[in-house]
Amino acid sequence: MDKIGVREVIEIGGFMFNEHTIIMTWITMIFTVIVAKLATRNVKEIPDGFFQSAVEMIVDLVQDKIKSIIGPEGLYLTHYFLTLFLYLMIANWQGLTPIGESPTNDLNTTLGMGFMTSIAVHFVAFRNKGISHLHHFIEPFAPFIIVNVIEELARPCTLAFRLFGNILAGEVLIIIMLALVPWYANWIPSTIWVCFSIFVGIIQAFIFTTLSITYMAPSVKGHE
Amino acid sequence: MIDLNSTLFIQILNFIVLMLFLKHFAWGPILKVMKDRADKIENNIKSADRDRADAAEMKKEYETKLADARNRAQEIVDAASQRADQESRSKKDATLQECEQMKEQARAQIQVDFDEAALKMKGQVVALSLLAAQKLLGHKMDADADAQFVSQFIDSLDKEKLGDLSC
Repeated sequence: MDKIGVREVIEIGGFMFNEHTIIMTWITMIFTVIVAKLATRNVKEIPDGFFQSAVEMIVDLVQDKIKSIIGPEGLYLTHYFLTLFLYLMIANWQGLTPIGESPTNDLNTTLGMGFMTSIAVHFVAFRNKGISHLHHFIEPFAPFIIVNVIEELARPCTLAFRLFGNILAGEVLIIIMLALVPWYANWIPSTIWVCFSIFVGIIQAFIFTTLSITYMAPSVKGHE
Repeated sequence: MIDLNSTLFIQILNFIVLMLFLKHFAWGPILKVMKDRADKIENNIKSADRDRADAAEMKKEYETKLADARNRAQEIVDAASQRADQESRSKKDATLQECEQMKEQARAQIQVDFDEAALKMKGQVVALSLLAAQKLLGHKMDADADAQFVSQFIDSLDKEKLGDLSC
């Protein structure tokens, strides 16, 4: 990213793509796969490696959230939420590397994840309840369809903008702080801010995943 | 800054590919191991609970048996003690009776010995008296007649002056 928020765009077959975002997404995917493979390379019943323990901790975290929000019947969706959390966490951390940038500082990525969640919510709802799932759009009565449709559209947007804003702001602030402090003291604010950004990266991935689980709950349990 | 384009769809596609890959190659084994572990822990806890209940039941049973055994042992000890007392008492009685008999026999034997001694002494006293009288009178007395006379005299002495020598 040469300037904040300005991306190099390439055109393939009339379609425009953000080159950096896609490359960083692939790098994120590779890292995610490496972490997952390291954790599952030599899976033991009693974990003795760092990666297995760390990933098991994340699995426990995600499964606890699913059980508390959806219930045990939602555990079959662990794969989806686990991938979402790990992918977003590693993506958020990408921007903390000297030459990298977070795929999540591009609205295309976060909105894509938001729509992905919406698609998954409706896919699960249709699979569980069939066409009667659409009935919730006219609840409590027909005119509410407008409010309900806005709500359905707002959900992926709020997910996307929250994540995008936090990660982009974090990276922007690093650049601003480095510009404000003399070169010999650069390491002080940048170190503090990187540590804070690591924490923010985890928190934002957790919030995105938890809200996705919350949105998914009515599709699995039924609307209340 | 906000420039939505085809990247959005590529990102959705990327995520689906990543999810399917991880589901197949990574999450499956780790979730299986975690589920197996959870099942094993659950089974172990259930088994431990069952064992604890069995152990408590066995302990109760053993305690009951132990109490019974203690009671029986006490009963046996009491009976043995009672029997020993009884035997001791009967042996003591028998011994006392035997002692009494032995005392009686000894007393009878002493009486017999005393009578014999008294009789013997009486004979010797008669002989001694005759000898003294012979010395005093200066002639020999008729042995048989004198002996009878002296004997009668001693007998009379026995009864009148000296009392009955026989015990």
